[in-house]
Amino acid sequence: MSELFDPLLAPYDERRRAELVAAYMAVEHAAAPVPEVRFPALREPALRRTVAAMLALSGRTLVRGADRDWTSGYHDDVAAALAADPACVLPVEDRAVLTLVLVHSVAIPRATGTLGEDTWLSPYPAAADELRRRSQLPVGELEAALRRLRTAGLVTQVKAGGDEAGGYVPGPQFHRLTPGARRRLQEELILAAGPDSPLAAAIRARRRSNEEAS
Amino acid sequence: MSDEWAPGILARARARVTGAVSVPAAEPVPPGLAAVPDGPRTWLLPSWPDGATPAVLEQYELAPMPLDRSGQARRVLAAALRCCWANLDDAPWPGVPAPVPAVLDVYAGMTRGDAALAGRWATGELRRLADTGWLVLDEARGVVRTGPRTALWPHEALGPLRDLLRRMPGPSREALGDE
Amino acid sequence: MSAVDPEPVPSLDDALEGEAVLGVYRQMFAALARDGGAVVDDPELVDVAETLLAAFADAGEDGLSREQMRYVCRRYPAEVFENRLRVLKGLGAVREVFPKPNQLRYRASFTSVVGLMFVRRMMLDGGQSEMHRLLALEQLNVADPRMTPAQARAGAEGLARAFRLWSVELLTLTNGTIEELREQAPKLWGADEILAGAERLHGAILRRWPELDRTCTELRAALYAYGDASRRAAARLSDSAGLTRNLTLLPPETWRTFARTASRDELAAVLDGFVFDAPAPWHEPSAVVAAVADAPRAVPVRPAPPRPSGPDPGLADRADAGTADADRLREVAEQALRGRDRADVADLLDGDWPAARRLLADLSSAHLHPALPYRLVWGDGLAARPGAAPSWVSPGVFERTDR
Repeated sequence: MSELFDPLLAPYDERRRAELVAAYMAVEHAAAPVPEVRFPALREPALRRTVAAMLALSGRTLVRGADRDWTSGYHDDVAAALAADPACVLPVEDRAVLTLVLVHSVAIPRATGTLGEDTWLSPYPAAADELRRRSQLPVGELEAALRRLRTAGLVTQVKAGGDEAGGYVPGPQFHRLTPGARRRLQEELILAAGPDSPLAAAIRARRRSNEEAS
Repeated sequence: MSDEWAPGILARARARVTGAVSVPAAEPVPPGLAAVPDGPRTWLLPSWPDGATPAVLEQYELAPMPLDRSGQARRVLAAALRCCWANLDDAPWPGVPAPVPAVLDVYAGMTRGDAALAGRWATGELRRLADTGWLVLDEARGVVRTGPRTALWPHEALGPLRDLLRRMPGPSREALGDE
Repeated sequence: MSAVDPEPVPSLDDALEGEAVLGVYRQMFAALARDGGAVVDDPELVDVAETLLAAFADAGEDGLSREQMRYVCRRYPAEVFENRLRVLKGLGAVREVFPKPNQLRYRASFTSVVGLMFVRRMMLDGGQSEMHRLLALEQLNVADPRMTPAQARAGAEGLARAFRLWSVELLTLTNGTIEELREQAPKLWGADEILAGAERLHGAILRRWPELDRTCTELRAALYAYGDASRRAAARLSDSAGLTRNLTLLPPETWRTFARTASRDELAAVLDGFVFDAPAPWHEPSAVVAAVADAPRAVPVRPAPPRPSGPDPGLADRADAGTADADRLREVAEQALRGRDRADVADLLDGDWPAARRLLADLSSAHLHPALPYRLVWGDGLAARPGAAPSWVSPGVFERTDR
């Protein structure tokens, strides 16, 4: 079944080839970015390029994690092309709930200065009660969407414990967003929540000039 | 990267976004996807290099995407295989259709306790297994089959599973008669 | 007089905020200061003033005695208090009154309180809200028949000057470090309403007093410069590195309002154009074998619940599960949990017994309902006997299972 990869793998000896395949499978399937120290094919730049080329065959790209670790995600152009296909986008209910989780778990902790890391993963759960009571979404729809999002690894439920209220944080799939996708997510949130802010105006202006340039 | 994506690249990326989907058998299969034939249709599944499977994560002690109640899901899958993998000398795919009550009966026998409640859990798992391509569920007709993803199992990994299924008690007559 | 709150230990945040108050204070009164030392240099001194003014507000027309003032300021050292009181008296913020001969009381000045409110607002948004107020007032003035052209000119010139200085400050920041810009810019840059308000005012002045066209040209130029500086600051921030950092540029309240008021479609639009992986768990044959071997067996069959695990929540994703009954049970369950993930049954049944019995019946139904993610777990060795006497106690727990 590996004719697809053969042109890329053929030049390597048995051991290198196994290392490349292991690294490829690890970045594609592990929940979190994998440390390069454990994968020679991620550690060595030349081999890493081959892993990236294997990923590119399926429209994927290497995404660097916070440390010296790696995962994979959709190439930005491929994501854009796929997103035009209705079969490839999340149902509107799921997207709405996921946005709510991102606002409560990432945007608000960022805005209040409690979340210092520049990341879309957050230790601050969107309180289940806040989602249920203080959004415009019907509870039944919200719960069903949360279940689907959880199954897909798009949100992670945080159990209530002690004084901590339970809730939801962005799930492991957010490791897989490329820098371009992360930046766009930030912009989309700002455009939606603060459309009259100077920042939104700047984002719109830049997008216009990019469109004219292309 | 160019603006023009080879259709194969998009198709392979799409397969990851949509999960297991089937297309009419007459449609050409994009290169680099595993085509699992299923009568008039073909399932498109990812294909991995050199026969590797995501099980490789285990060797490196890396966590896969979290899965709730994975044990329960796998026991329900085992119960379905017990009913649908008719000839254990063959491959599990495509198997034969089995009535859902028969699968629930096998599952209930596997875990002692409240059979009615176990049945309800198992129904949910059947649906999730069908959503992810491990089973094919026809709820209207009340039958279930092995799913195309089992075609990705390497043959050499099937020995212990075959042994298990040989030992496992099958559905009771009543369960089969309920069809 | 109302009770005084227990004194909190000042935190680093308090100190930083104190510094910020002082910064605004110094800037505001710099024009009036005799020399640099005339403005307080310790945040605590502002706190003393605020503490006193708050106490005066509570005290009403009787004012406060010296002892009462000392009492509300008891967390500050005596010499700090004495020093403050002397300055506040000297500047007229607190004055002595004699309701009766030989009785010395103190009253506070309204102006000082307003001044402090103003300082706090300036600190919060760098004067944006003051500018709003100013613009609104000027707009009213311009419509006032008694307004003279000279007054209108003076108002317009003042605004032009404020906008010029605002732009200069913003441009300086834009050419400085990105961190400082990110921190300060939201206080300085022009939200669309301020610019729109200023332009409305400009138009109104020009229509009523066409002879003020030179002044208006100045104001217009100042507004353009300010709009331009705002755009440049925003552009630099939106181009800056960082994949979530700019989220800090909208205030938390804006985010909350969005989350609470946005429609489903508005929320969903944020994620237009994003694609994610379908769930694709892998079940290795050996893992299937292991799961069967690990099946929870040998659980003695009991007549009443303990349940080893919960009913399946996956069914609720289906349309056929959305029955009225399920919805009612879900509502009851959520009321019982009140946002928590679990609750002791004993706590939930803390009402009259028939109501408790109904609730217990509903919770049991929620537990048994295949589409609902709840379970009722009973401690070992105790049966639930809802029909029995209220002395019934059980280590039962009602909880969510969709974790």
